[in-house]
Amino acid sequence: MSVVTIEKLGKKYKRTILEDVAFSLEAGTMTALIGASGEGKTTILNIIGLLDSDYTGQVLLFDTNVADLSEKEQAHYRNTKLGFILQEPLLIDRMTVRENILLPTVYLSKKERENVDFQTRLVNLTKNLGIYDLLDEKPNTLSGGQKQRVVAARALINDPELILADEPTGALDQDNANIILQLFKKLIANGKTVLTVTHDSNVAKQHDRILKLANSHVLEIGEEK
Amino acid sequence: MYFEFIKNIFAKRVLLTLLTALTLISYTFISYTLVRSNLYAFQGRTELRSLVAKTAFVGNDQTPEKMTDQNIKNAKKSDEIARSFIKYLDSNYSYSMHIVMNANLGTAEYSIHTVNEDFFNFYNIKIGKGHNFTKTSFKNNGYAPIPVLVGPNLHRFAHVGKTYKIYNSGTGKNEKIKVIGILAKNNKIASIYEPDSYTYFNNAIIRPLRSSDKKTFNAVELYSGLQDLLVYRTSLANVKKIQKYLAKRSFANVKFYSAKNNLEEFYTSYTKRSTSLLIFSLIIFFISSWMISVNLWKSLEEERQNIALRVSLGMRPTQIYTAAILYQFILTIVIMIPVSLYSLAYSRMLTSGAVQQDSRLMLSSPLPGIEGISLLICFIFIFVFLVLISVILIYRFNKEPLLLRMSEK
Ligand SMILES: Nc1ncnc2c1ncn2[C@@H]1O[C@H](COP(=O)(O)OP(=O)(O)OP(=O)(O)O)[C@@H](O)[C@H]1O
Ligand SMILES: [Mg+2]
Repeated sequence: MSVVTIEKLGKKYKRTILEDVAFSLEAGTMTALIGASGEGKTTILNIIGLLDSDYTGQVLLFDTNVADLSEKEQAHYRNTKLGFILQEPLLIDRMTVRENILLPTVYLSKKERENVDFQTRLVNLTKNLGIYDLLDEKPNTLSGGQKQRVVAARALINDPELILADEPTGALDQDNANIILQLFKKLIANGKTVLTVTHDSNVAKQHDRILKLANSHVLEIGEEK
Repeated sequence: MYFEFIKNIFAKRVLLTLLTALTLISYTFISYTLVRSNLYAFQGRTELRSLVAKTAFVGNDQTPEKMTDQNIKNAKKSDEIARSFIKYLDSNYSYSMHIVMNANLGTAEYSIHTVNEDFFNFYNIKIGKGHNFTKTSFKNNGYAPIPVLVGPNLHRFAHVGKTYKIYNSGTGKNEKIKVIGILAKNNKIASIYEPDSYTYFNNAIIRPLRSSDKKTFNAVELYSGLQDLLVYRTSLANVKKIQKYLAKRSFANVKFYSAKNNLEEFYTSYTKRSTSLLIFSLIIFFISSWMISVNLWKSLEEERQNIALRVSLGMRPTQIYTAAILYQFILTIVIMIPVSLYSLAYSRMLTSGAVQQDSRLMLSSPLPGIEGISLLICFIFIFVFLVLISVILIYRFNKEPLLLRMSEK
């Protein structure tokens, strides 16, 4: 099954950012998206992440045209099928680590919340990521690497199918970067899909495929030559 | 989830939020006063319409204190004047007299209102239990118990058909009374000079001014009765004779005003006062709405990334509206608390009259209609307005898509 299918995607601000972009992502794969700064990589992630609907062309998630989804359904997709990881770990300072990680469950319906044992999932996830002892801390006491692992736990708490990561290792040291990459590999082994935007060619090389955004178009590296 | 959003986004600036709430609280007092006063004035105007229809003139007692004191000291002579004056009135005029005696003000549990038959031509007094006075109530001889109507708060007297003894500081005698009716709750009459203020009868004993009472009429009673004496179906030239009558005998200086002119004068000055209060309230209103807008907009803008984050995690952008409406609802309730307490205390004071009363009774008395309606109008107005501001600001805020700046530049 194709998790993401993009056809003839176009996006304009004052100038054209994306034009005739097309690619698809298969379940259980890990893809890197590279390209120079300002080319529109984050723009693509916002579109796939259902945060930006101001584009031309077609975006299909799980074989459904997202334009056909209602606002409520789109929110539910973001909530349960998508997980976001950003370069700067965006956490809510007034909440504890635990509350931050559980934030996506707040937007579930009551029934959905009762169907899953989130406490067990929280413990397993945080133990795997080495942040179990930090659950009652506030984010501002954490290091950058710890924060990024909290963000990863939050992205995974609702067990999403597709992870969208924008420079997830950009602000991390080698050890923390490896933790995130190992996590991604574990995820695809379980049939999940990962799309990573990165500048780092070493990080890109560890992915199954590499897509390059240049001059508003996306090309597969390897096909390029 | 809405409460998390309200706490961390809308109300995150605690100091500014508190300051806004305080301005809004002062606004609630002003707008409540304004609405209530207007409703009362409107009601008073409606109730006093019969005065205008009957071309009534209202007495205003402007007797110098010296004259009053002297006359009360010289009771023998002045009581004589009082009795002949009442005779003079009876044979020449139609009038409504209302004598109020607040014996030992502050400690007395009731006030005695002595009224003549014509009083009921102007004021519609509703009876809760028993019955109203009849023609014969006013013609009783001096020996039978005096038929009275008692206010609903006076539980001690609340037995129709029973007789009691009370002291009447007007007549200076202990009087035997017989309760013939209990008044309905919150009977009130509008003041002719200020139709937005009322006298309540909840703690009153209403007693007829009988033919036998007129024979023993005295100066103390007359002085009370001259204030707001209503003389009707007559002309200004005719009522001037009453003024002359009392002046000639050095008893009182009573000026008569046409009820119509009086009411018109009141409403002209009332409209002026009301308008200036309205302008003042609008200023406070604009200050508070400006503060609310700034607070709301700043919170939204500063938290744009955090709101985008919540949206990326599954919140719907339209749920910002729901959160805002909920927030404004809570805010409106909170800021209405002080004015509601004030209103409750105020209406208790009103309905209990100037006299003391059992606090248990006060608790059981509901808000009189106008107080409650005024509160409701203020609540709805403020809530609708806050929601409107929020909706406009959030609409503007949502116009720019909530994107994640996934990587910092
Ligand atoms: N809201 C906006 N209004 C106008 N132009 C925008 C807006 N957001 C992004 N752009 C422009 O769109 C282009 C693509 O931005 P985008 O953030 O997708 O680039 P990027 O490839 O992620 O760059 P980087 O590697 O630096 O993160 C940039 O030229 C940027 O200036
Ligand atoms: Mg970017």
